[in-house]
Amino acid sequence: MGLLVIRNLIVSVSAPAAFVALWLCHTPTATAQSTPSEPAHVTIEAYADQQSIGPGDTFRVALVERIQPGWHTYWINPGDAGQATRLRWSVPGGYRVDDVQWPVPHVFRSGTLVTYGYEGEVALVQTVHAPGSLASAPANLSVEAQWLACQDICIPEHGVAQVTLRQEATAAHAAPAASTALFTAAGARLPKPSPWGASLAVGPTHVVLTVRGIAPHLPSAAQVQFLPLSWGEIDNDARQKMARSGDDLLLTLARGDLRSSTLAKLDGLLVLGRGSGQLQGQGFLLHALASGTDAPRTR
Amino acid sequence: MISIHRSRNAWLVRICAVLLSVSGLAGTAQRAMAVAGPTIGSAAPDFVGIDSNGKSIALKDLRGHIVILEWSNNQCPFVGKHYRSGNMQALQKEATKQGIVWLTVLSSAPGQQGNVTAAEANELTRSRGAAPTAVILDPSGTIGHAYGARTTPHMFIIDKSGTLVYMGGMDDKPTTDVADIATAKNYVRLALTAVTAGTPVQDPVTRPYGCSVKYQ
Repeated sequence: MGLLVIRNLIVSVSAPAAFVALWLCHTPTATAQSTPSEPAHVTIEAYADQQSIGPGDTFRVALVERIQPGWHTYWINPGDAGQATRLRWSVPGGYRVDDVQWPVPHVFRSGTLVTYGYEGEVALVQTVHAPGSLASAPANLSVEAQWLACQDICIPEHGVAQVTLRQEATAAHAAPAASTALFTAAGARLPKPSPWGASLAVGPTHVVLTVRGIAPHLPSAAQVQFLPLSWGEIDNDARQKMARSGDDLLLTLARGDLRSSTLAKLDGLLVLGRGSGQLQGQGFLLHALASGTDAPRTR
Repeated sequence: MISIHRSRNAWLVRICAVLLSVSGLAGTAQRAMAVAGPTIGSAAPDFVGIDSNGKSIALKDLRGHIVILEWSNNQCPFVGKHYRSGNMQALQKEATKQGIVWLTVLSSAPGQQGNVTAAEANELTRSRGAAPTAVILDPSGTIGHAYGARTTPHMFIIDKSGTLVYMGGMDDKPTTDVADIATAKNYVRLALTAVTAGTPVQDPVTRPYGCSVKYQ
């Protein structure tokens, strides 16, 4: 069926060539290629925040997506459509890789559909724990990435990238400046733990998310948006009504497709938008447990 | 005691404020914050559609039949997964053999991906070996919006009394990989089995996954 637009991007990197290149450069590098006739809408590259690893080190790796203008990839909760980027790191025995640290996403609106993701460039950072004793050979950490690139239309793409790091008996060496800058920038885009507590009152069609003590930190014109971490809890398209009660901020959110089910908790990002002063653009991780004050259910 | 009363009062004020905000939604705010899409256990939104053979199909004329709605866009890779594998066609055949009415709905607007003519729709049915009861052309998105259809595919099941009993994804593996179908939990098949047997659907609402519906 010629109309199916499935583009399997073949990643063909000859292993010996890659190793020679890595050995010559001695810097974290990566390879992600696609066949010339099927240009990827996203190119990827892998980085590490150390140039070499010492026993028991905790360091970070990043998969950077460089996304063609007009296209985007997705957050852990893609929203109404789409698919989050999936990363699978292959690491030497004894190494452990933590979960992806997802940066605060952009909100994309198309009619009534709302999706969450990234445009331009995004770094998906993960913490790596090295074992207590290391082999002398360089450690090769490779990542297999699958992402959905969407503009008006969506194309599934994938690629492989890797970093090769020296393993040393003693201290680790810092990464080159460019890599350090990349991790610093990536860190700035991560959501922070919320310094404000939150609670949830659940009604049949709406919930009220109370963020305690935040109001004095927000100018009155601040725009605030809650982005749910999971599907179905919140209607992504519905207007989020904001009110203040003393020092608290009350966000009224329409429930999503799972509105007929019990909602015991709500996790997500509180993103402070326009008019938020110094906090503008920052995202805070909220974890709100439903209080025992459920509004009467209608059904 | 006084301090306890004070804190309890403060607590009560807080709870009341929250409750008022929730109940207050019943008034003016409700219109601006209308709940999108249909609700499980309620009457499925009525519609009249024109199929790829020019025939008019009204949901209310289908009472007494189980009806399944499948939102589709033949160029969406998630739809492609279920058609290249034969997964969708197999389920269509299983369903229609039992007298279930299977309606494939195309809500792509003119000029958008997946918008096809009636003849193209019929050719797609033929070339893919698909077996829906009918393919409804909904380029205005009217039916799509009534159901809050967001993705292709997005599946809805309506029981014989016209009640919506399932809405969501095809299965629990939100990928474009055909290989995932073998190990996926096919929510639609499970729901159809339950509805046919007259038992409750175990997972009546699941995450629809796929491309966005290409509305106007």
